[in-house]
Amino acid sequence: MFYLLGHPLRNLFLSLFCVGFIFLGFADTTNSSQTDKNSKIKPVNLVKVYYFHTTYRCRTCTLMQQYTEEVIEVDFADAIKAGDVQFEVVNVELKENNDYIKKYNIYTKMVIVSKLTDGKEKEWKNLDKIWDLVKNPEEFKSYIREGIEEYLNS
Amino acid sequence: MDSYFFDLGFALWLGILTSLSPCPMATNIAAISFIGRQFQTQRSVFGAGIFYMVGRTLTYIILGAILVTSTQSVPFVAMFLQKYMLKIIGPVLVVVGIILLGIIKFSFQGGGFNENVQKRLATAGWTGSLSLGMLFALSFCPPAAAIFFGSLFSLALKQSSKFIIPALYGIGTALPVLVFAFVIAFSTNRLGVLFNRLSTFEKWARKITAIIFIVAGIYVSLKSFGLVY
Repeated sequence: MFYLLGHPLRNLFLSLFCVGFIFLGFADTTNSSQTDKNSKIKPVNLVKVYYFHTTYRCRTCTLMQQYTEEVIEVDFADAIKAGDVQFEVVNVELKENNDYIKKYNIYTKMVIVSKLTDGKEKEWKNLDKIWDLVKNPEEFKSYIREGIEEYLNS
Repeated sequence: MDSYFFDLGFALWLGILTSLSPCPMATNIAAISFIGRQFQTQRSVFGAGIFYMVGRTLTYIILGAILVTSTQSVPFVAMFLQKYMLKIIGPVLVVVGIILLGIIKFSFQGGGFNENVQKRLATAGWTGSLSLGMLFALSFCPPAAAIFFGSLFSLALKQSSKFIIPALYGIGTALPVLVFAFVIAFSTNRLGVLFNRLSTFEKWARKITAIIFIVAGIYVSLKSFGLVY
C-alpha cells in the first residue's frame, strides 16, 4: 500500500480500478432491481377465485369457505406459487368491498371465479351449485376444482 | 309447452325443498304450532293453514314482481333481507309469545286495546296467520336466499313470470308446514276427544305455542347475530 502512495501511475490505475469497481457495483444494483421488478410484475393471465361472505355467517357458510380453501391449497398449490391462481376471501359488508356486490350480482355467500387476460377481466362465473353440493364435501370440492380448471386450461 | 309445466313443477319443488331444509326449522315449528293449535275444529286449522300459505305466497309474488321488473335490484334486496329480517323476526316472535302467554298487558288506550290484541292473537284469526306467513316468507337464511334469488329467480326470468312461478314457490314453502300442522291438530283433537279433555288441551295449546314462539324468537335472534349456528 505504501508503494501506491508514492507512485502517480499506480495511483491512477488504482483510482481507475476503484471507480470502475464502483460503477460495476452500481450496474449490479441496477440490474438486480430490474430483475426484481420483472419478478414483481403480475402474470398477464391469471384465474382469481373469490369467496364472498357477510359479517355474520352460518355454519354452512363457514364450511364452504373451508372446503374452497382446501381445494386451493391442495390441488392448486403449484398454480398459486406460480401466480396463475389467486384466492381471496372478501366480506362484502365492508364499505370498501361494496362495489363487488353490483359487479358480480352478489345475493348471498358465493364463490366467483374470474379469468384475467392481459391484466383485464375477460369473463367470470358464479359457482352457484355450492349450496346444493355443500352436504357432500367431495362433490363440492370437485365442483370447485373443475370450475377453476376450466378457466386455467382455456 | 313441456318445459313450461316442468318449470312450474320445479318452482313448487324448490319451495318444498326450501321449507324442508334445517334453516327455517325454528320459524316452521312456530308456524306449525300456531296453525295446529286451532284443533278445536278442522275448519279452523284449515283456515289458518290456508291463510298462512296465502301470506307466504303474497310476499313471494310481490318480491318476484319487484325483482323481475328490476333485475338490478336483486343483490341489494337479497343482501338487505338476509341481513335484517332475522333480526326483526326474532324479537317479534318473542313479543308475540309473551302476549300469547298473557304476561304483559298493553295499556296504551285502556282495556279496549289490550283485549283486542290479546283476543286477536289468541284466536289466531286468519289475519294472524296471513301476517305470520308474510313475515316468515321474508326470513331468508343463506341457503333459502341461494334458492330464491338464484335458481327460482332464473326460472322466473326464463318464463317471464312475475306471478305464477313465485306463487308456486310460495305454495311449496307452506306445504310441509300445513301437512305437519294438520297431522298434529288431528292427533291432538283425537286425543282430546278420547280423554274427554278437549278444553284442557286447548288451554295448554296456547301456552305451548307461546313458549315455542319465545324460544324460537330467542334462537332466531341469537342466530342473526352469529352467536349460534
